[in-house]
Amino acid sequence: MANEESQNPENNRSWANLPVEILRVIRNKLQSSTLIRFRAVCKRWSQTGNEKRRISNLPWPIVNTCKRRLTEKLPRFIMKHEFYDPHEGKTHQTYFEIPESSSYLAYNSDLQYNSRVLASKKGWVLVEEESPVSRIINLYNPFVNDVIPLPGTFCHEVDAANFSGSPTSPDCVFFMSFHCNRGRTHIGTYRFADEDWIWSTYAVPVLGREDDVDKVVIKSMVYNEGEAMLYFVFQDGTLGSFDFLEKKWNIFWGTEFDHPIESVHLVEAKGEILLATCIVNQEEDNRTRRGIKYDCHWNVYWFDRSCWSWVSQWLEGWTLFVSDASFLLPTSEVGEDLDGCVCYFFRNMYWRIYSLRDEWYILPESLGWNAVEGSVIEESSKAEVGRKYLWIEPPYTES
Amino acid sequence: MASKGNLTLKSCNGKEFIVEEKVAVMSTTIKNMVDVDDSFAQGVIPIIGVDGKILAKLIEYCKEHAEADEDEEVKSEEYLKKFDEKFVDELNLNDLYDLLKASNYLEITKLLNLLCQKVASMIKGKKPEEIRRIFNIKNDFTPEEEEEINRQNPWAF
Repeated sequence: MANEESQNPENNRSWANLPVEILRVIRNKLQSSTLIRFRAVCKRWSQTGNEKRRISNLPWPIVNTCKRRLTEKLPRFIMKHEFYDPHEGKTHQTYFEIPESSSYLAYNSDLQYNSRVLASKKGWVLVEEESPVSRIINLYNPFVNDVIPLPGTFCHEVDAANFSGSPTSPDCVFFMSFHCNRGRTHIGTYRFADEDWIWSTYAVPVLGREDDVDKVVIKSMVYNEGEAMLYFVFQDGTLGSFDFLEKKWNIFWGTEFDHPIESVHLVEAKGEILLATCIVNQEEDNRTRRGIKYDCHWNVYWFDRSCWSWVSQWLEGWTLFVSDASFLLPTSEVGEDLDGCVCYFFRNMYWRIYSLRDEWYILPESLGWNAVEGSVIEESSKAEVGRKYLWIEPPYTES
Repeated sequence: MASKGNLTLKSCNGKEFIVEEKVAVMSTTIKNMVDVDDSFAQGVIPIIGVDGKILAKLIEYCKEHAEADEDEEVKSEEYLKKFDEKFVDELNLNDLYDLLKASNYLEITKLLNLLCQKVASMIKGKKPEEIRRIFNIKNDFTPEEEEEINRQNPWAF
């Protein structure tokens, strides 16, 4: 017939009707986005089973940026999330249009709009958005293109933030902290049932020196659901807790470290509290004469509640992913090469892997990532200011 | 009539192949037939729904792998890997399809895995419409269903 596609004699079998056992074997060899597209080919291919599964729990790097798009007469702001799928070696982008009705946005064509990722959990990213007028906090899910706005506008930059679980649950609790001058640090908590954030302030006791006041800035926080307790660390590694129900503060003075610390990251895993600290050595690189060389050295500690002290850890059988969202995973779920390793973002631009046992960097071949200092996102977008990478749990590829 | 230790396999279009038993029993289906009923070991085993061309291919594959299983020195892992690569590369789409079905029916797990891996590599990184074009598959989703699929995982498309 004239309007019927001519059949290639070498391809006239009914691939759509392959026995379901065979389709299942094929499906089980596919990963992440290819698996999703496999299910979008035809009805039969989509009906090969519908259990939720992940190929691997390896977290993905994600970064977000705001772009001004001048369409029509008004500037529109676009929230862009870029994430890297290590299984396919591919960067994906998703876009959200920031609604023009948002009262915090003055429609001035010179307006700058910045954003920063604060935390991530269960595929959601907590984002601080800043205009010259004020700051707001929203939750984005770049995998299912969903956004949940949180109440309030804030005058101060957020120091640290986190949330307790999936934001689709009504029990989810949000935390954020900021500091203002004269050694006061504030913690805000919010649940969907509340009308607004509930604030609690901690005034730092006089520490003697003027610059001590600045040290009491919360750098990282995690929530322990069982105890209804928020744990946080200051820049110098001092641990504190905040009782969510009683609104009581407790600072474990004496848990600080004697060496200067570049960055601190708290991690909560099955009720235990871990701390990852980074020390940076800067030295003139004589070999390459390319200026300063930076070496990051990581240490990981477990908090021993019985004696309120940090105990050094090798993380045997575990892999730690640190960023403003940190995850501790069994090495069996992410690849044996990563045993006892800390995976982090160096200068917010490159991911690197540090072996705690070797006290040095390793090549991440098992990840399928192709260089030790691989830039996650393509060269062109690297120069944008204020970019910050975060680890995010990978999406389920079937639902 | 096959001599001792050999089996006769007959394709659906009447072609007969005499093969060593250790080669034939790479197929779990044939192994079960021979184990249960001794008469198969003497007589002819009909391979329903598999033509002579495909049966010859199956035997070629099983022969290489049965010999390798018997003596690792003769056929190294590397040799087998190269053989497997060449084996799947030479297949056209119809042969690939027929072999998939035959290896599934005859339960030749190793071969089924190899062929499915080949299909998976052909699918990897491709868009649904490209996959449909390669395998000559009709898109039977309604526009509404298609929209729903895109909505669930927009990043993957």
